[in-house]
Amino acid sequence: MVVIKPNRVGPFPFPKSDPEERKNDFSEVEQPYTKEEVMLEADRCLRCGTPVCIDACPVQLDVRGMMDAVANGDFRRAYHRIRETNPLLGVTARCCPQLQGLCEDACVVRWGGQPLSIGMVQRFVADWEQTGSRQPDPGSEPLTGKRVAIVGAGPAGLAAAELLLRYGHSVTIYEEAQNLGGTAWYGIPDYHLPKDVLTYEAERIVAQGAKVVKGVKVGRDISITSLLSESDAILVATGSRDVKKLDTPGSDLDGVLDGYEFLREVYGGGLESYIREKHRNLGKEILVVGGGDTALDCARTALRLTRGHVSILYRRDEKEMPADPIMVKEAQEEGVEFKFLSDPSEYQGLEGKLVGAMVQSMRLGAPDSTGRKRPEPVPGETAIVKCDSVLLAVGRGPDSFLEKKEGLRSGPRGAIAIDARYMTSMAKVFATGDATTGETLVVKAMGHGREAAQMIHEYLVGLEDRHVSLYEQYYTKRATEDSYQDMLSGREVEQPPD
Amino acid sequence: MMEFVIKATERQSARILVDGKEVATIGPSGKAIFSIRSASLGDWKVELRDDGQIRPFSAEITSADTNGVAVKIKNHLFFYKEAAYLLTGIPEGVRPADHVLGKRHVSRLDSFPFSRLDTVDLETWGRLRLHRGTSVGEIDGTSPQEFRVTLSGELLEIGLPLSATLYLLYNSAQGARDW
Repeated sequence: MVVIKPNRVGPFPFPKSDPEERKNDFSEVEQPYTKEEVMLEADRCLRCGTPVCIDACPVQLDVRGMMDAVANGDFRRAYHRIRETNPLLGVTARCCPQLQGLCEDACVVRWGGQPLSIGMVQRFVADWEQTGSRQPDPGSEPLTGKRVAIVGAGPAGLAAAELLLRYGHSVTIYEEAQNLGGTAWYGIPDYHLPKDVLTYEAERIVAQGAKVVKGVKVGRDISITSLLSESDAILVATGSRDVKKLDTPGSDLDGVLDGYEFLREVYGGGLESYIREKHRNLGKEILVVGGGDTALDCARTALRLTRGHVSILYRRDEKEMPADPIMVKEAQEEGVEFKFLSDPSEYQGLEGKLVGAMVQSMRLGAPDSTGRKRPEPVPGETAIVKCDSVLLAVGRGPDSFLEKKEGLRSGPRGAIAIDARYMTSMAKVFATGDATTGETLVVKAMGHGREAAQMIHEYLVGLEDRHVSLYEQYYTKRATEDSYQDMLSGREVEQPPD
Repeated sequence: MMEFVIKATERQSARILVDGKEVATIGPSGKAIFSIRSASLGDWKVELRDDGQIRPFSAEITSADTNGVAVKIKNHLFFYKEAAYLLTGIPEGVRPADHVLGKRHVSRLDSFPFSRLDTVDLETWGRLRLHRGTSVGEIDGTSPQEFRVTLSGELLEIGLPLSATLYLLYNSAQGARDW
């Protein structure tokens, strides 16, 4: 009979710093477990045979193996088990919404209490390795002589690079920016993800043998055709970029900003540099428009920069808000105000500078194609709201620059069209991540990147007809292998009977 | 509404009860394949595969009587009698914050813009959780050993194999679906 320990160690969902203090700086909100706490929490794991938590992880993180090792105080073994499939452990531990459709949402302990705090245990193990217990990188197969060019050093590109390197292929990553990480670098605030964590893990991938070419935009500075002449395959992983345009009158006023560009401005060159140079005066009254995680990131970043009054306007109600509810609560704790069923209908200015917004009250009507009730204006119900800045965070689509420039076939909503093997309309050119799916989570982009890397590997070595999903390989081979690398190498092992 | 209670008996095996009476058993019959045997509700096969590959939250339910695929589930989503259904999504009326520790739902996606699994695009797959719908079933478990599935009338023809599949997909305690 299984005995459930129903509650997590510490507060649910995780220990946090004081909101009155944390809103004044960019220090981490989530506070780590101690060694004793993490061992106790890990020991709540039921060690399921074929765990549903691993099913729910886009990169098949070996949660069970990690929990078993941590419960026994063996952090080294825990690290190596989860490093097998995830080269960005500290990053994903911090920025995955584990309770929103991922591992913690799936954990069976939830049926008898609170699910395991998987992200917190993973974070402890990643931090243990980064702060004085450095472990060797995973092994690689002998060099194949095959060369792969990866366009984009975001989560999808980095995860793909890591797997291709382990298969023995040579990898060159082309990145337009000066920092590795893509959206994880500029789109996730430092209070969620300190950049030294990302830098450490990205550089570890590079140290496995990748060549990185920074400051080069493929399609502008170098063509796909040129890359093909020196590569056996190309993987396009350029992420999301194209911002949805709104035609609200006054959107061109000074003070109305695109939220994504705002985050890029603040975090792209490093937060300290932004603060030192004070790029932009946002004023004290700031409106953020949108209902997703990016709107929250904009609001909480603006709050920390200005210590002003920040409001989020969302045209639907709280139930329909796509943002992670845990992050919504954090923002509320810090003093961000939420105005639901509100949508700016006009931005008002004086001598070209934003001074206010006409805010339209909304109500919910018939469902749209996502089943969420469509917002409709309530006739005659408007109000003028004084503001110094507006940050628009209303969604963005795939970065379509390269497909337009190089003539790659497009799919729905501007994504790069790919087939079941992740190949684009151009021979030898594959694509993955947000460039093909639209904006998604870091860990989903990583999972997509790994699957694309698997397809490229099979293409390069002529194994296309023998494809087995990484997930199936994990369960049918990994359990009997000495190491994940043996599994990747395809070395034959005797299978257990059905 | 009908409630199916699934209780683990031993590794990869369980009993299914309705109104306190056993109506079926679940047992293994191959790698990622399970048999559901019921004197009153027919025999069924559940294969935890998607197009031949073992993948998460995906299954094919086949009737032993007709040997035809009754339902194909891919990444929590399935179509049945021309309607789309999402497993463990957040239906209309449920606050996402309440969903975190609350019951899980089977939602009918009334406005879903696709009618077949193979036409769903990559962006929609990646953002399935944004889709709301009408709750037509609940998944709950008072413990990992006991799993409860309540389904409304529109799913009752496949209620037995569907509830067994939900148990296999979403409850891995007690070696429920080891292979």
